[in-house]
Formats: sequence, structure tokens, C-alpha cells
Amino acid sequence: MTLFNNLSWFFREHWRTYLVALLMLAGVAMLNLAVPYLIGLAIDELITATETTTAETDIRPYLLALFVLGIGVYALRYGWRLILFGTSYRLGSILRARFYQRLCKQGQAFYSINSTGDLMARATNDVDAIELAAGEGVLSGFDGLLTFILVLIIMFAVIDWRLTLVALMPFPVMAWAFHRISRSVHQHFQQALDCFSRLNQKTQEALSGIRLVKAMGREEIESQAFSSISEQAADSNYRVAQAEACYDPVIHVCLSTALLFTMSYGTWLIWQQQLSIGQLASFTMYLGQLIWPMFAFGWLLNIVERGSAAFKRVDQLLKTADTINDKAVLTPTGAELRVRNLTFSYPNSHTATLNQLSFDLPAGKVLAIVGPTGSGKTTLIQLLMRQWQSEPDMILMDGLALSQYSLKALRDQYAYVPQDSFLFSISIAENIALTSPSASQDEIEAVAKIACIHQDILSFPEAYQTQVGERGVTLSGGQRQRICIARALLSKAPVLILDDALSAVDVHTEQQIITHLKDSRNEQSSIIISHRLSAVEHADETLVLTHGCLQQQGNHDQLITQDGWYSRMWTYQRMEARLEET
Amino acid sequence: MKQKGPGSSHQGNTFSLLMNYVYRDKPLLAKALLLLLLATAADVTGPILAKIYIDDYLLQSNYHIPSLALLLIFYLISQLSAAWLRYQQTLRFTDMALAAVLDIRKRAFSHILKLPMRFFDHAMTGQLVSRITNDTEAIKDLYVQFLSVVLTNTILLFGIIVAMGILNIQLMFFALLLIPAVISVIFLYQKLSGAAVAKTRELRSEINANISESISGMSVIQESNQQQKFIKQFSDLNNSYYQARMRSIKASAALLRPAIDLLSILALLGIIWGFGQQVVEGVAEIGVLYAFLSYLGRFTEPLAEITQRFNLYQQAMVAGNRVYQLIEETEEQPLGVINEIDNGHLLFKDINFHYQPGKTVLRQLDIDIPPGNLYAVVGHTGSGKSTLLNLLLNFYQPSTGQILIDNQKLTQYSHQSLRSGIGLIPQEPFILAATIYDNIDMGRGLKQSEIEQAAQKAHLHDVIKTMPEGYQTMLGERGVRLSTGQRQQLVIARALATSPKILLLDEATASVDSETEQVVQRALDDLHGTVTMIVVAHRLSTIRNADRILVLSHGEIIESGSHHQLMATPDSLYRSMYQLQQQARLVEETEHSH
Repeated sequence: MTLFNNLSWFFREHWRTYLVALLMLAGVAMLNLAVPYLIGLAIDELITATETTTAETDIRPYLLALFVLGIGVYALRYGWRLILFGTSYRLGSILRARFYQRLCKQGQAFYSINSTGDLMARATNDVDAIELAAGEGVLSGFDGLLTFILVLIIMFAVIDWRLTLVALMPFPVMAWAFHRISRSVHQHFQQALDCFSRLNQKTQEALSGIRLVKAMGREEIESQAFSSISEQAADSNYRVAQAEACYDPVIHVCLSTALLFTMSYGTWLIWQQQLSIGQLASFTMYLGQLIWPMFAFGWLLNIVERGSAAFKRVDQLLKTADTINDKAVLTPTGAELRVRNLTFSYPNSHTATLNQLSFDLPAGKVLAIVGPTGSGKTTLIQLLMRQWQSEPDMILMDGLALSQYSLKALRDQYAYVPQDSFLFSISIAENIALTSPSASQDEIEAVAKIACIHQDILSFPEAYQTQVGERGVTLSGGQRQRICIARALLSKAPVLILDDALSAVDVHTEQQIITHLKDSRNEQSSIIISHRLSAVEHADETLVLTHGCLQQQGNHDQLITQDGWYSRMWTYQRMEARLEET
Repeated sequence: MKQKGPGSSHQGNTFSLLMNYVYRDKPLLAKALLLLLLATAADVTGPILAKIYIDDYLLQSNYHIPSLALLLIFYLISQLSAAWLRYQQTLRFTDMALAAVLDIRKRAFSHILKLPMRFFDHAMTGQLVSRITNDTEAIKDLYVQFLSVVLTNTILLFGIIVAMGILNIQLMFFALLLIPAVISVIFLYQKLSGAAVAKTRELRSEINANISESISGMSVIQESNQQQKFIKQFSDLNNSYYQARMRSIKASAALLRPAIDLLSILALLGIIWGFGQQVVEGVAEIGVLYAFLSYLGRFTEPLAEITQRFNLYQQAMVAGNRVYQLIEETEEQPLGVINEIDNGHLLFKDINFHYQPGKTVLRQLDIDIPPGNLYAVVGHTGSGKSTLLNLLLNFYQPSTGQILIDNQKLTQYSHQSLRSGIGLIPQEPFILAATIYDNIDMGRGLKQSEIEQAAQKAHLHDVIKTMPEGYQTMLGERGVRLSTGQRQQLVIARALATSPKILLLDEATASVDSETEQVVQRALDDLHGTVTMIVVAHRLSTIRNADRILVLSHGEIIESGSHHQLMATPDSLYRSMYQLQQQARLVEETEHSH
């Protein structure tokens, strides 16, 4: 029951709603109890009529009462469903919204250890499970208990307590059996799920390796392996069905036994004239009403168990602290960067990703960072933007450590174009204007022209209003990169960062964009990471990184004359270009 | 029983495919049906016995103990056997359903592996996986839920009606009125809630899409300080989802359980009223009323179940349709009958090939490789190198021209002879989580001696011998981890285990470490002269000893000759490629020096 404890904030907040729903449930339970009672009375009335052969019976009051009762039960049932389920949907809604807000506060460190699939599962399936516990869990717990108590009271107090004791004997067995069955269903269901995911895996594996399967002639063996997993899956499905199929006979046997006891003992009571036939009839109907509470208790345990597990997973994330602490309030007034002895290693890693780096980026200058894959270029950028926390005072902006500024103010200094050009499923114009939603169409087109994407956009069916993604156009890698560049240009932030953002663009377009950038950004500074050295030829300063160390530093003309990575790579890329021309 | 639901006319084939499984095991079907009928009969006997008990004994105040006890014992027996029979019958139906799904799954899987390579060019793996697993799971619902539940409940309903009729035909008609009433309520519900339910589902998947996109784009959102905007968007979506769910809960609260329960109370009213009339006429028996009341309690449930299952039926038919289409795809053409490749003389005659019409990949290719020769194929990405191997493996057939092995057409060889006569060393060394023995054998049922010989040829035998369990050492995640070079050796041993006459080597594109390169180099040198080899090379240094190097460009052989010949030709593409790789080495050197 810790789940309900954990959710108590919600129950407290909505206690009135829950109270109304529970009162309605109680109303339904009471009215339902009256049905067998009224029928019993009607039967007795009819029996008297047949016995006295007066043929003057009036069961109409009972029928009218039953009718009103039926309508009342209908209205109350409608009401509690709406309120109880509605409130639990509200809970789901709140949890999802909070979850989303937490996600927005988490930085790279968080996303590097939590996979998208896992986060998705928590935001969807787990929230559903909690919702189920708060809605149907509350329902089955309360309603089951209430019905159980009320029915018992009626049986004991109104009909006959001795008959009740006799009739109830099989019910503890039923409750015990329900509990056992529900546990075994749950257990086998887990196994079935497990088998199903192995089946998925096997199929995925075989189909993605179809070339090898065919080349090695493994069709038969793969099929056999698949068959054996399928058979296991069928087997565990059979066990689930077998366990589920037990519910019916248990209910049937227990109820029949209870009825048998009722009939035999009831007969004796009638014989002794301590019970009427009508009472016996209503008693047997009450017995039927006891099935649901027994079932509800078993089910409740199950739902709450699942809900608790889900709540733990969701709550764990809701309680995760912000990755980057954002308490400072200053706003930088300039954007010169000064990096001194920057050393950084990722959490849980023993090797330094960056080692003793020092450089400056004065306002209005172009800094290039080059080097082989894995040399720490992107890490450096992420540190400059404070996506990871570095040691204090290693990176200064406008003379102060990055942690002195609020995250928002700091990030407003940068216009960043990441390596994987990410576009949202909205229109192209909205994608470009992501950072500056108030930008005019003219401004959007102006940056699109600088990024050499304007013509491409015009060729799409709805030009700038074309949707990106599944419901719209599929863009090529180069087009995506150029839209992201346009997006960054529109923000007019003091530092533009291109993180290998021209890799999918052809050499000719790359040169064009570089020229446009040179012309349009005089006072702003740029940091350009590129694998193609031709894109950074014009940089004021170039850093050559290998394994996180600064190997060479200087402008193109200086670097080209030294024998090192830069000059050798330069020669390689020129040879490659020549080879491609042939 | 033949159930033809809505929308099945155009799915006739799928339907008959699925129905076949119902009739397939006739004894089982007969047994299940018999159990079902007996269970229903035993089930509906109970209230009739109770009626006799009340009318003939209680009301007459006839307390003849032996008869009473006999009646009660009968009652107990009928109910216990009903429970047992019902349980057995449920399991029989489950058995039928699972056997059918198992068979469909196996069929679909082994069928898909036999489809030609061309099929996989356009198919998306995720979708295919989903057809084999999810769609067949939906078919299971068709059998378990639809057939079993609908069949059981229909027969139960029928049994109850018959029992009611036996007891009192007029009152039975009152109960019968419930059937159209419940059915119309449920159809009304489906009509009214259809839009709301569809909207809910749509919004649900939009929420999923939104979360997933936000997670992938989170760094962009944060870098551009757009958190508030995205939170607002999500919360709007979240709210519409809530609204849509409220609309659908309104429909279901108004029309499903509460309405059906109301209907059954109304039927109860009708029956008591009708009974009252009969009392007035003096023909009523109280026991009948009692029996009717117990029947009525079980009457609405089957009706509601049956109607609600029609949704499932439609979903399952859609899934069944997709599986059926998959099973109907044409399999690979069976190959010829020649059982062994004798020498390994390879001849490509006038080969043209394209994956898609209009986009030629290989053009006018003529290659003659004498037995035991080592030919290397080099060229840019997309020049057609791998396609050449694909044709030889018979993954695809040339558009025009022929491939001859020992002057016989490739297609005249049997599947078996090609698989054992042509060895492939693929780009990625693929290691099974199994013993070394099984990794070399790969399920081909080879002899221990053949396995060891192959390991010796790959220079792996001595290493294996030093391992504690020798050839039975487990590899993979929970077993021994081999070095990259050893993995390559294992893959070579695997390819050599059937003593192939032809060996195809698709060299890894990624920069291979020098250990691995040496392994490959040594294997090539050992086999040179005895096995015909085609090496698709990326590292030009490994193929220096090739008898002939073919330079492919846009599907055509533009240069051909030995390493020395090609290097001696000024401005040859090969020479430039070679020099480029030399330069790459120079660059690499600087990456490792500090």
C-alpha cells in the first residue's frame, strides 16, 4: 500500500472528488443489495397468492421499486465511472507533464546514461500502470470491501445468521484460490512476455543477418532455433491460459458448494418454519454478489503491485536533480572566451578526454578545431556551452567563470549547429525560427539564402510551410545541415558554433556558405569544427587536437609549412579530391 | 461452426487459411466441441434441479430426506462436472489456437528465409519482424478470444434459452427480448464512441512521438533556450488527450456496463411481471421463477462478450491478412542438381546487372579466373565490387550474361554444392554465442577432423589447444573473448571447413589493425594456388601478390593487371589509390605521436 501513500498528495488534493465517487459506489452497492431483497419479497407475496388462491396479488409496488432502483443504479454507475476514471486520467496527465518538465531540465550527462527507449517506457507504460492503480485499484479495493461488508451484514442480520455461516464456508477457499491463481497468471505472463521478446530478438537477428544466413546455408538451423523459441512461447502462453482457466471452475465449484449448503440447511430451516422460500431465493442471489469482492481483492493486489513498481521508476526520474546546477544570475556583457589548462574526463572514465588545453577566442575572430575522430572536439564545444560541468576557472567568458552566469544567459551567447542536424516535425519556417519565433518571413529567407538552402526550400510543395518528417518531406543530410545553419544564423548570438555541420554538403556549396558567413558576420566570432580542412582554411586560428591534446596551433599558412597532422591531412585531402575528379 | 464476420468477403483467402487450422486436427476439434456441449448441458441442468427441488418438495412441504439428498447430490455432480468439462474445453481450444499460431509462425519464418535477396532490398526489417511476431500474436487472439469465447458463449446462450423454454415458453420470450436490446446498445456504443476512441488513440501516438522527438532533440531545445515553448506544446497535447479520453469514458459509462446492467434489471422486472400474470391465471410454479432468476444472471454476460469480440475479430483479420501476404511471396527458384564443384574455374560472361531498372551497377563484365588463381577487385564505394560477390553467391541473378563454374552454369549446381563449394569471409566477423566447434561447424554437421583441419589452415588450432576446454570452449558474451585477429582466423576456418574450391573475401572497410591484416595475408598466401579466390580489397597492401587486380569504376573494369604492372602505369587509378593510402598512413602516424 506504499503506492497509495506515495500518491497521497494527489488523493489529498482531490479528496472531494474521490469522496463523491466513493459515495456513489457505496450507493450502487446498497441499491444493488435491495434487488434480491425486493425479489424475495415479491416471491413470498406470489407464494401467498398461490397458496391462498385469492388471485388478488399486488406485486406492482415491488416492480415499481425495482424499476426506480434500476434507474438509480444506472445514474450512480455512470457518475462514479466518470469521476473516478476522470480523476485517474488527470493524475496520468499531471505525471506526464511533470515528467516532461524534468526531461527539459536534464543535461547531456543524464541522457548519456538513460536510453530513449527506457525514458519512453517510463513516460507511457509506467504512467499508465500508476493511473490504473489510482482508478481501477481504488475502485476494486473500495467497492470490493464495501460489497463484501454490506452483503455479509444483510445475510447475517436480515436473513439468517446460521444460514450465512454455513453458506460462507467455501468462500475463504475461493479467496485463497484467487490469490494463488492471480499470482501464477502474473508469473507465467512475465515468462510469456520474456519469450515474446526473445522471439522478436531472434527474428530481428536472423533478418538483419539474412546475407550471412543465406551465404552459410543456415536457413534450416535458424528455422529450428526459431521453432524452439516459438514452442517455448506457445508453452508459456499455454501456462497463462491454463492458470486463467482456473478462475471459472473455482468460482463454479465454490458457488455450487455454497448453494448446496444453503439449499440443504435452508430446507431444514424452512421445515422448521424459520425461513421463507422467498428469503432462500434472495439469499442465493446474495451469494452470487460475493464473487466480485473475492475477485476484486486478488486483482487489487496485482494492480497495486504493478503500480508500485511503475511508480518507483517514474518517481526516481522525477526526483533526479538537475544535471547542471543553474543558480547563478549574471549575464555576460561580451563573448570573448579564454580557456586555460582545460582538462576533462567523463564520469566513470579514467582517461582524460581533454588534456591541458589553452587558447583564446577574441570577439569577431574565427577559431577552427580539427583532428581525427575521437580527439575531443565535440566535448570541448559542449564544455564551452556548459553542457557538462568542468572544473571552475578553466573556461572564462568575458573574464568570469561560466558557472557565474545563468544557463539561459550563457546559452544565449551561442548559436550552435550540432553534428547530427536535428529537425522537429514542424514546418521548415518554424524549424528555422525555432530560437526566434517572432522572426519575419524576410529575415527567415535572408538566413536561408546565407545557408544556401533558399532555392531548395522553394522547390518543396509548400515552400517554407512544408512539414518536415513523416507527414511532409524527407530531407537529405545536406539539406538538414543547411537548415540548421540557417536556424543558428537567425539567432544573431555573438558566437556561432558549427560542429562538423558541413560534412554532408558538397565542396562547392561548402565554399559558398563559408564565403557568405565571412561576409555577413563581422563582429561575431565563430568556432568551426570540420573534417574537411578546406572549410577552415580562412580561420584566424586553428587548433589541431589528437587524443584530447593540443598538437598544433596556428593559422593555415603556418600549419601548412610544419610537418604534422595538418599538412599531411591537407595533402591527403587534395589527393583525394583529385582522385574523385577522375 | 462457420463464423463469417463483417468485412471478410475480400479476405476470403486469409479466412480460409485461418479456418484450415480449425479443421486440421479434427479429433481435437470434435473433442473440444463435445466437451463444450456436455459442459453447457451440465451447466444448465443446475437451475432445473433447483426448480424441481422447490416446486415438488419445498412448496409441497414434502421433506422426504432420501429424495432431497438425491436431488442435492445430482445438483452437486452436475455442477462439478460442468466446472471440470468447462475447464477441459477451454484448454482444448487454447491448445488448438496455440498449435495454429505456432505453425503459422514457423511457416512464416522459414518461408521468409527462403525468399530471394531481392525481397529484402525493399523490405524493412522492423516491419517483417512485426509480421512474424506481433501479427501472429494477433491471430492467436482470433482463435483464443474470438473462436473460443464466441463459440462457448453462443452455445451457453443457446443452452440457457432451451432450458428456459423447457421450463416456461412464455417467460423465455421475455428473456429473448434482451438479445436485440443488448446488441443494439453495444452497436450504438461503437457508433457513438468510435470517433472518440480513434481520436484518443491518435493523440496517444502523438504524445509518444512528441516525447520521443523531444528526447532526441533535447540538446537543441536546451541550446536554443526553448524549454518553455516545448513544455507548453506538450501540455496542450496532454490536455487534448485528457479531453478525448473523457469523451470516450462518457460514451462507455453511458452505454456499456451500466446500460447492460439496467437492461438486465428491466428483463428481471418483465419476468416477475409475466410470472405474476401466470400466478393470476393459476398456472405458475415458484421454482420456475427461481430458475429463471438464476439463468438471467448468466444471460447478459455472454451477450456482452460476444458483441465486444467483434472488434478483436476485425483486428485479427487485418493481421492475418498481412501474414498471409507474406506467406504468399514467391520463394527462391530451386537450383540445379550438380553436386560438386570440381576445380573452381570461374567465368563471368558478358554480365550486366542492375538492382533497379535504369541504374546499371555492372556493365559488360567479362572475367576468366583459372582454378587456384587469386583475383583482387578494387574501386570506390559503389563501383560494384560487392555486387560481384552477390552474384557469385546467387543472391541475385545477372540481368544478362552468365556465370559459369567449371563451364557449367551457376544455376545448374545444387544449393548444397554452392554453399559448401564457395566459402565466404564476410566483412564483419560474426561470432555465435556457442562453442568454438559450433562456430566453425555452423550447423553443417562436419566431422571433428574437418573442423581441426580448417582450424589448422587458419593457424588457429594451436591457440584453441591451449584453451582449457579446447574446441568446446564457449565464445560470446559469457564466454572467452577472442582478439580481433583471432575472430578473423575463426571466420577463415569456418569458410575453409567444407574445403571449398572457391573462396570469396569481402575485406573490412574500417581500418583493420595490423594483426588482422597479417592474419588475412597469411591465409591468402597459404591458399594461393589451391583455391580460386576473389578478394574485394580496401587495403591495397594485402593484395600485392594477387595474380590479377581488377579496378572497377561505375560497374566497368577500367584497369587490370598485377600490382607491378598497374603501379608502372603512369596516371593509373590504381596508382593514385595506392598513393592515397600511403598518405593516409602518414596522417595516421601523426595521430598516434604526441
